[in-house]
Amino acid sequence: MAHDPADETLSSDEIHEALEANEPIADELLEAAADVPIVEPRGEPISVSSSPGQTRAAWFFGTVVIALLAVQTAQPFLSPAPGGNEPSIAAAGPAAPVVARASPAEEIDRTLREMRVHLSRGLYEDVRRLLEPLVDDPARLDRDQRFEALIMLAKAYRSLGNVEKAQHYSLLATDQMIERREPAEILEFAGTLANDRRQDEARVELMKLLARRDGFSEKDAPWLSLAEARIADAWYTQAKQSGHLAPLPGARAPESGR
Amino acid sequence: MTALAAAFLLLPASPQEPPEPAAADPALLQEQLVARDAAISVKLVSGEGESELLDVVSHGAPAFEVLVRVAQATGRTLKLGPGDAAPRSHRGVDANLKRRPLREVVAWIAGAAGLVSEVTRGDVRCEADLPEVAAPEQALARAIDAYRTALLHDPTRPDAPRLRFEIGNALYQLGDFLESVSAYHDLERDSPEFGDLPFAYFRCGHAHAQLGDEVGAQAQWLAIAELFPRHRLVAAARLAAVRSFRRQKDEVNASLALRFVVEGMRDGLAPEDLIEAGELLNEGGSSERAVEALRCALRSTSDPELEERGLTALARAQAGRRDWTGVIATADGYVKRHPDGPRAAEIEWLLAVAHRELGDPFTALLALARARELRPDDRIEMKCDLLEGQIYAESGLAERAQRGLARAGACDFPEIAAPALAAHARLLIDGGQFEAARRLYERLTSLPDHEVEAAIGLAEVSLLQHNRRLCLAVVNETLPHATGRERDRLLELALEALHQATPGDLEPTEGDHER
Repeated sequence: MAHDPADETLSSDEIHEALEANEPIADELLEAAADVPIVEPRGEPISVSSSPGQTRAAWFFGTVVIALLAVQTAQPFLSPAPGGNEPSIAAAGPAAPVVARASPAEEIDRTLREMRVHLSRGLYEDVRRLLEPLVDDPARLDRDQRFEALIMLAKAYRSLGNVEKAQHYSLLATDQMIERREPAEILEFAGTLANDRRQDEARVELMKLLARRDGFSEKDAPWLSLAEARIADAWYTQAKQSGHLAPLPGARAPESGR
Repeated sequence: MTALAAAFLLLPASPQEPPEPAAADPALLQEQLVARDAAISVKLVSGEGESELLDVVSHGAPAFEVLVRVAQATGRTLKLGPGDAAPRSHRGVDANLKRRPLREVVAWIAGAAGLVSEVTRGDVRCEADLPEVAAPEQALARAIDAYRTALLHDPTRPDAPRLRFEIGNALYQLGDFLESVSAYHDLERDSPEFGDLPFAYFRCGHAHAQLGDEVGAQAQWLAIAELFPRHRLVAAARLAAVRSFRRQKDEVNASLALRFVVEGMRDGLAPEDLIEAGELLNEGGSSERAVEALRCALRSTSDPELEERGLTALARAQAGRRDWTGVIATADGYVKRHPDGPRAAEIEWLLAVAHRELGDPFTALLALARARELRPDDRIEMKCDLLEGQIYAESGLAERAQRGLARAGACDFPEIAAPALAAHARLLIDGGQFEAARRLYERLTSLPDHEVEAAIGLAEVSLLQHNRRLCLAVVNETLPHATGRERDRLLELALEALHQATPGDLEPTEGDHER
C-alpha cells in the first residue's frame, strides 16, 4: 500500500483481503453503518477492522433493528386501528421537519436520518435522488456525514441492482475513512526529498497526492495546486541537475540565482 | 480484452503476491482480473465527441490494473516499457478522481507508481521514471507541460507569474526561442510587479537575438535600464545591446551604450560585467580602457572560470596595444593557473604572436606547437596555420610557409583566409607562379571587404604578365570603390600600365565599348 499502515483505520492486509473478496468490505461497511445511532454524534470514525465476531454481532443487531422498523412500518397497513383517524407512524414519520432554524450541519444530519429510514423502507430511488447531489458537493458535508451518505448511496444502488455504482460509492466511503498524512505534510516531505536531489521520489509523493485530488475538501485546494507546481519544479530541477543544459543568460547574477 | 490479457502477461509476479496462475490459461487470467476489479472503479463520464473525462476510484489496487481499466474505458491499450516499468506497475495506488481528463488521470496514477506516461490515440504508454536515464530535454518538456497544467487548473494562483517565468526559462533552455519570447512577453504584460521581471526582459532579449531580431532584442535590453535602473542586470543588458548594435554595424549606438557602462564602472560593476566590458572595449579599439577594466575585474574575482576568461581577454587587449611583454606575462600567468583551461590554445597562440613580434620566431613556433597539442577549435587552428605560414615566409622557408598558408586560405573564416590568401599569393609571385597567384587573388575577390585588396593584387599580376589591358580594366572597375592608399596604389598601377603600353594595346575592343 502506498500509505503508512500505522496511521490508518484500515490496515493494508485488511483492505487487500477486502478487495480480493467479492465486495465484503462494502457489506461490512454497510452493516456497520446500519448500527450507527441516528441522532447521536459519533466520537470516532466507524471502525471496519473489527473482529469477525463483532461484525457478526453487529450484523445481527442491525438485522434485528431493520426487521423491527419494517414490522413497525408495516403494522398500520396490516391491521388498521379501529379509530382509523389516528395518524400512522409513516405519516408522522421522520420526514416531517422537527427542528426549526436548524444549522446547515443539523439540516444535513436530519436529511441523513430521513434517508436512513427511507433506506430501511426500501425507498432506494429517493435515497439516490437526494443523496447523490449532496455527496457531489464537497463543501456541504463534513467527513462523517460524507461517509454516511456514501454508504447509504452504495446500499441503495446495490439494492437497485447497479453493482458498479454501488462499488464506486463503497470505495469512496473507504477513501473517506482512511487516515493519511495531511497534504501540507506531504508537500513538506516532497520538499525534503527534492532538496536531497531525489526529484523522482518527490514526484511520486506529489503524484500520490494528486491521484486522490477529488477526495479532499476545498480547504486543501491550495495545497493541491501547490503540489502541481512542485511536480513541474521537480522536472525542471532534474533537467538542471543533469548539467547538460546551456546556462540561462543572467543566471550568474548573485542576487537571484535563478 | 486481448489487450488487457496482453498487458497482464507482460508483468512478472511480485514477491509479495500469491503465485500467479499459469499465464497460458486465459480463463483463469480473466477470473483473476475480475476479482481484482472489485477494488477499482473506472468510468468514462464524457459523452461521445467530447474530450474524455473519467471517474476513477481505487484503494491500493496495483497501478497496472487501474491503468488497464482506464485504457479499456477509453478504447486504448496499455503498453509498459522495458526494465523497471513492470515491477513498478505492481505498486498499489489510491485514486479518487472525478470528471478528470484522461491525460491527467493517467499521469497522476502512473506517477503515483513511479511511472511516466504518454497518451496517444491508441495507447497508454508507461515507462519507469528514472532520472539517470531521462534526457534533460525530456525533463524540460515535462516541466513545461506540468507548469502549463498547473496554470490551466488555477490561472489566478498567487505563484502564477513565477510559473510563467519558469515556462519561459525552460523553453529558452530547450531552444524554443519563439515560444520563450511569447512566454516572457506575456509575463511582462500581465505581471508588472513580478520580482524577477528584469531577468525576463534580459532573457527575452537574448531569445530575440537568437531569432535574429536585433531590434527586438535591443528594445528588451534597454528597457531594463529604464524600468529597473538600480538592478544588477542593467550593465549586462547594455553590454548585450552593444554586441547587438555591433552586429548591425551601428557603431554610434554601440559606443553610446558602452559609454554608459564604462561610466558606471566607478559605481562598481560585477566582475562578469567588467570582463564583458573589457572585451567589448578591446573589440571597439579601446585597448587601453579594456586593459583597465579587465585588471579591475581580475582584482575583484576569485571565480576560476571568470579569471580564466578575464586573463584571456587581458592578453588580447594587451596584444591590441602591442604590449608584447604584457602579453607574455599574462599568458604565463594563465598557463600557471589554468594549464588545461578551455582558452589555453588561444593563449599559446597569443604567446606565439608576441614572440614573433619581439623577433623570436623559434619560441613563437614552439608556442604554436603547444597550441596545437591543446586541441584548439577550428578558428585557433587556422590562426596557428596562418601565423606559422607567416613566420616561415619571413624566415625564407617558402615551401613550408605555403603549406600553412594554403590551409589557412581555404578556411571559412574571412578574417583568417584573407591575409593567408594575400600572403600566399605574394609568395607565389615571388616564385614566378603568376597564374596560381591570380587564382588566389580571384578567390580573395569573393571575400567581403577584400575586393579592392584583391583587385590591386590582380592588377599587379596582370602587369607582371604584361597584360596591360587587363590591368587597366581591373583598375577602371575598382577605382570607384577604392579610397585613400588603395586608390593611390591603383592609380600608380594604371600609370605604370600606360607607360608600358604600346599603341596596339590601348585600342578599344568590343568589350570596352560595352563597359
